[in-house]
Amino acid sequence: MSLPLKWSRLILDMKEKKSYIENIENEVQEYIGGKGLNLYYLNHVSMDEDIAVISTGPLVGTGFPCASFSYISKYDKKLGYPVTSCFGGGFGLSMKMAGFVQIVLKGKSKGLLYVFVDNEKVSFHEASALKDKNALLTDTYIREELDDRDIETISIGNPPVDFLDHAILFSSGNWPINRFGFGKDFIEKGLKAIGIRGDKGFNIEAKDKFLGYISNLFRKISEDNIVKTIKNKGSLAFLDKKNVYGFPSNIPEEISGKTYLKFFEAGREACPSCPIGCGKFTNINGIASSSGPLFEEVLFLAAHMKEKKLDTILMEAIRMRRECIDPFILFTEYRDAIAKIHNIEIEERYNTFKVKGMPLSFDPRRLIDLSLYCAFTIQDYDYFQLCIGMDAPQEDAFNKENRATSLKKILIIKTLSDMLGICPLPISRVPVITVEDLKEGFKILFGDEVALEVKAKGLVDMERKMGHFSKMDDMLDDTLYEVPTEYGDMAGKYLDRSMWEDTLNRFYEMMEWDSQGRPQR
Amino acid sequence: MEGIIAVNPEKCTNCKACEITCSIYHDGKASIHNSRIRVQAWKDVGAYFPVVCQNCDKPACIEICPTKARIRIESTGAVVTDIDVCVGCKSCIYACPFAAPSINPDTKKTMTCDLCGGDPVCVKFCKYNAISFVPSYKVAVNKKRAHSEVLKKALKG
Repeated sequence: MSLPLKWSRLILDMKEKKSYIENIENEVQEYIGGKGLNLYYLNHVSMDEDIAVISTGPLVGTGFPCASFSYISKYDKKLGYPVTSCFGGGFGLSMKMAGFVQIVLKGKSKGLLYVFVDNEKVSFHEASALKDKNALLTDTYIREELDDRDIETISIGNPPVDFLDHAILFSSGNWPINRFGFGKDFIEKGLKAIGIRGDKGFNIEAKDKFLGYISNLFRKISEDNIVKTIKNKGSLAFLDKKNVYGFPSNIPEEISGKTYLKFFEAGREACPSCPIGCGKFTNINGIASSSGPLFEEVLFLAAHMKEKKLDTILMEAIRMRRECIDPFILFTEYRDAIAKIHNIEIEERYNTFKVKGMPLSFDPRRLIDLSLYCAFTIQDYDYFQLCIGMDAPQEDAFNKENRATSLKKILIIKTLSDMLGICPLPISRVPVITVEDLKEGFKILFGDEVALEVKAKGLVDMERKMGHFSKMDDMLDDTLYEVPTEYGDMAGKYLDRSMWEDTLNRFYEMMEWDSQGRPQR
Repeated sequence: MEGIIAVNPEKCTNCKACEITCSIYHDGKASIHNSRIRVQAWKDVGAYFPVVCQNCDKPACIEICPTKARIRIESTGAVVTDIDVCVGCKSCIYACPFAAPSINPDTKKTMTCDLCGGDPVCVKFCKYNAISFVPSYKVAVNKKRAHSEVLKKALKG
C-alpha cells in the first residue's frame, strides 16, 4: 500500500533564475521525508555539484505536537561526507502549505538575490538592499516588501568575512541553523534569503480521532515535569544543579531562572504546534538583544555581564555569535576574536566538552551527541535516565547490554524524528514523545502502518555508507579515556576503554553491521 | 456555557496550535488559512496577539450584512455566518472593529469562531493559557485582578 504523500520537490536554479517542480511520490514512499529525502537526493547527484537541499517532514503542518522541523544538507567536500543541520521555526510549515516537501538549491547567481516562493509561483528578487541586514531585519524586510505577514524565511545575516566559513542561517529570522556553515553556501550562491508562503492545507480524514490523539499528546508533553520547568524557569540548564554545563558562575542568584525571568526575559516564542515553547526574547539593559532557542547562551552572557560589567561588549558578542558562529565548534576561536577586538580577557569556563577542541556534539554522524556523551561518561545519572527513559537501577543501567540497547534506541528514534520533522528536544533531551507515539500519529494521518523503525534503520545505514564510516569513526577521543571527568557522579574518574569497545561490538550486532561497524545491506 | 474566548497576548507564543486545530476541527484540514482564530505577529519584538470574534452585544457585522447571513446562535451566543446565505461580499470584515471574520479559502464565504458549540477546541490546545473560554463578565474581572497583582506585590511583597 502506498502512502498518500503527494508532495513535490522545488528546484531553484540560481544561475538561470529559474525553478522546476518535480513529483517525488515514489521517493517519499521509501525515504519518508526530512533528512531521509535529503540524503537520498545527495546520493544521486554528482558530488562535484554545489548543491544544498532542504526538506521537511510528513508530520510538519499537520498539528502533530513539536512537528515543525526541517533539515538542510549538502555534501561537505572538506569533511568528505554529507552533513545536515536541523532547524525549527515556521519555514517547514510554510513549505508544506506551498505544496513542497523539498527545495533544492543549485547554481550561483551573479548578484545577491532573494527568492520568493508563493505556492508554485517563484520569483527572484534583487537583494542588494539587504546586504548589510541581519537575519531578523531581512525577515522583517521581506514580509514588509511583499506585504504578507504569513511569509516565512530562511536567511543569512551579515557575518564578518573572517567568519564566513562558519556563518549560520536563521529560520524565521531567529531560529538558528547552526551546524556546518550553511551560511557560506547561501553567500556562494548569491542567495540572501528564501521567503515562502502557501495556501494549501493538509486534509485529515480521521479528524476527530486525530484531534483526540494529539490532545492526549499535548497534555502528556505539557504535564511533563521537565517541560514545566523549561516553561516556568526558562531553560534546561536550570535543571543542572551540579553545573555540568559549566556555567560561568556557581552563584544561584546569577544563574537562576528567577533571575532570568525577573531581569532578562522579554518575551516567549514557540515553533508551530509546540507546547514546550523554548524560544526566548532576551532583553539586557533595555537593549533589544537576542531571540531564539539558545537562551542558555544568553544567560551565560548575562551572568558574565554582571561579573565583568561588559554589557555593551557582550551585546556585540551576542550579535556576532548568533550571526556567524556555530556555538558548538568555534567557541574558543570566537572568544579569542572577541577578546582581541575589545582588548579584554574572557574566562574560559563554558567549554565543558574538551575533546581536542572539538566537542562531541559536533560529531557529524550524530551517533554520539550530547545525550550520549552524558550517558556514556556517566557524568550525570539523572540525565542519563532522562535520555533513555530507563528505570533500571544504576548498576544495571550501565552494563554492556543496556548501554548498547540505549544507544540503538536513541539512534533510531532520533533518526526517525529527523525523517518525520520532529523537534529533537521532546525526543531525546526530554524524552516525552516515543516511537509508538510517532507510529500511531502517522497511522491515523496516513492510514497505513509503516514499519517506521525499519525506515529509520535504512537511513542510518545509508548515511553510514555514504560517509564510509566504520568502527574507527566511532572511537572516542583519547582525552575521554585519559582525563577524568570534572562533574557529576563520575567526577574524578574516566571512561573505561574496554567497556566502550564491548558496548560498540554489541551495538554493531544489534544493528546487523559487521565487526567493523559497516552496514551489510 | 455562554461565553467568549478571552485573549491574553502576553502569554501567546505564536505556536499556531489554536489555528491549526481550529481548521482541522471545522474543515478537516490542517491550514492556518482555514482557521477562525488568527494570531497577529510582530516577530522582531516577540509580540503576538490572537484575534478572534468577541461576539459583540450589538455586532456591526450583523447590522451591515446585506443578505442577513450573519446570525447569532442563541445557545452559545456565537455570531456566525450562514454560508447558505452568505455571498462573500466581505462587508462583515470591513464592519468588524477587529476584522475578526475571514474568507474561507474553500467556500469563499466568510467564517468566524462558532465556539465549537460551547467547548472551543483552540482553548484546549493552548498550553500557554493565552486564550481561555470564560463568561463575558470574567474578562474584565480577570484583567482587573491581573493588574492588581502588581499592586499587591508592591504592597505586600
